[in-house]
Amino acid sequence: MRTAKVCIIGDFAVGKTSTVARFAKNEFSPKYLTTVGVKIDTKEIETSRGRMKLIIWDVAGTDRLAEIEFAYLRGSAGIIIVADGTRAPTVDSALRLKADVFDQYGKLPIVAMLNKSDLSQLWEIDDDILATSKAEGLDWIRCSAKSGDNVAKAIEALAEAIMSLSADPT
Amino acid sequence: MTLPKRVSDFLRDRVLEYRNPCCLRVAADNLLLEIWGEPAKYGLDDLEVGDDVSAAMPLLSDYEFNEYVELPFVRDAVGHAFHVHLIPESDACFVLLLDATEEIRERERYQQTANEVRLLLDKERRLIAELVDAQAELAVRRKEAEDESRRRGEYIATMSHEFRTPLTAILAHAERLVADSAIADDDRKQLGRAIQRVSQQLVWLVDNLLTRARLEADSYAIHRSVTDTRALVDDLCLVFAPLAADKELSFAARVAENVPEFVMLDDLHFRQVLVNLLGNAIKYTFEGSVEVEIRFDDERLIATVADTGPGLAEEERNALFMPFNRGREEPRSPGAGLGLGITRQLVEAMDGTLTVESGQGTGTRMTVELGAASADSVSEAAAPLATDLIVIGEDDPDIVDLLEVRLAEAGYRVHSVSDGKALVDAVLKLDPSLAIVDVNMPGLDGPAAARKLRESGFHAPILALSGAGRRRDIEYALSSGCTEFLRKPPHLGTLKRLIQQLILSGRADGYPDSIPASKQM
Repeated sequence: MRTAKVCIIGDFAVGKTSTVARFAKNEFSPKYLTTVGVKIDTKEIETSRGRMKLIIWDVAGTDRLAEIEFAYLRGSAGIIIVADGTRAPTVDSALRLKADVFDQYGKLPIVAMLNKSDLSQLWEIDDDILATSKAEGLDWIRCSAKSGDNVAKAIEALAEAIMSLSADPT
Repeated sequence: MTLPKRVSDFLRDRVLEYRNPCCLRVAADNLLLEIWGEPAKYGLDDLEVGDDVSAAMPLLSDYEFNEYVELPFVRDAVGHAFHVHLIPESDACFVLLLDATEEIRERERYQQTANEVRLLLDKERRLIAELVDAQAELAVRRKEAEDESRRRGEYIATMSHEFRTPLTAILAHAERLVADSAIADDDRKQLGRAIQRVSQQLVWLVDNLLTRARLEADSYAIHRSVTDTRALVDDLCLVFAPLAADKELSFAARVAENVPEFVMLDDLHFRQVLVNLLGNAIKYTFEGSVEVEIRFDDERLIATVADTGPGLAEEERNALFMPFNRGREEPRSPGAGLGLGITRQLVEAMDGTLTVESGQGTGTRMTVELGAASADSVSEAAAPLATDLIVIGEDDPDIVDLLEVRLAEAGYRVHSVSDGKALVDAVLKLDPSLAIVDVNMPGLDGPAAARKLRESGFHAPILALSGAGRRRDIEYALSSGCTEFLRKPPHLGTLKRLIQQLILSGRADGYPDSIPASKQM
């Protein structure tokens, strides 16, 4: 079975740990608990190219990558970037993080998850922000760790991209 | 660094005591070669030499053990918290795990507090932004309210002036008529005409104010009826020719031959449109002429008012229809600046168009185009019969006097009552050729009286009069059995022609029957 290390990054309190909990254990807790360092979890999934074990490194929230985060990201096959749809500045943080990752490790497969789509009344991300972000390489998928909406779909798309890349590395 | 043995031993004991180290020697293919320390602290107690460690320690998957790596603050899936040091050695790697349970817990506590404060600050930032937006919105609203208040103040001041000036003139002329018994006939006539002219201007002003209020309240109704085109133009000439003459302007009115004698349109409002256009043309023309021309083309009535005034620059044309626009103020002319804005709205309400052709120094042509189907003409020769009686239900004695005098002049017999119940009694007793009902009579209102009359078998036409003229008043009157509706004060020419038409159509329908002797007045 193919194993792949993926790192989930993003600004603090965007819902990275909740996203992993929803994906790996189908759980959700509304209470915010900060992550220190990195949490490692695994999940086996089925892809179009066979079964795959994802080793998910849930990196503590930050808006820039430093030496410690680069150490965590080392050896990643793909990146999950998360932003909070109710806090527009977290999209800017995500764009910076993506640039840091690409500078250090090249153009890895990446999926961008715009979390908290269930909080539509607090939504701060308009079409202009999405268009600008897309032009800079992040095509956001609206999702909700709370409802589970689009969480598996986004991460499985990343897994497919990783499998596809390893089958045809060109 | 060299330390005394006692100290280095102490440090080693402390690290061993607090960090509970576990050390694994792992081959490049992730197979366990050796293990030391306390694997149970990290859930690795089942590992045996030769096992693949990546299943128990997923963090070791996909790592190339070719350089020293420190991974601080790692928590595994079941909650073990530790620092990891990967120390390469030839073709293998030492994996050193140091317990970080307490350290991570402490850090989590601080970081949790710090992040919650940041989230609160973020929320505060948003609330402040919303507050700033709300304050800006409030400032705009306050400015709008102040502007509106100022406009209302100016409006009241303008209106007061516009009413006061003609009323003062009327009062002065009337006082002279009353006080001076020896006044010559010519002077008396002149004073009467002056009162008539100034009163007419007041009626126009009130018409425009009422129309504006109705347009703003969206309670405006267009009511088409048979309109005598030439009589309408004659009426306009009677009013405006003297006004033009006062300013030494020539005045001409032309009606093209193909214009039908009678057309279907809203007589009152078409008249108001032309009054506003002509009034404006005369007001702003200081030499030359003012002309009005009526044409007819393909069921459309086209009225053009042309003047030889100073004309309008482009920016003036654009501001022409704004409320309270008063054009150039040199020399200052009377008027509230309401006319043209209302005129355009009226024309549009009648599904027509109003176009302006003008340039500085070239005069102005305003053209109104309205759909106006030709109507069967009413013969002027159809004079009232000796049997044509009109019963009037109206509580305003001035309106009653006016109607009685004018209808008697036109050859009708008239009987008046002042409330709805008396009207019903009188109509049922006298069986007139026509009943005129005031919509707002005391007791039984006009439409209610009309309904009672219809229920009692009265079939002759009923004409409703109302000062309001709102859509709902018209609908109420017509749905209650009234045949036609006119706004008060009615234009007397229009009133007479409408009464004539209604009585003729009533006669064609066989009403009234010959009047029995018992119902003679």
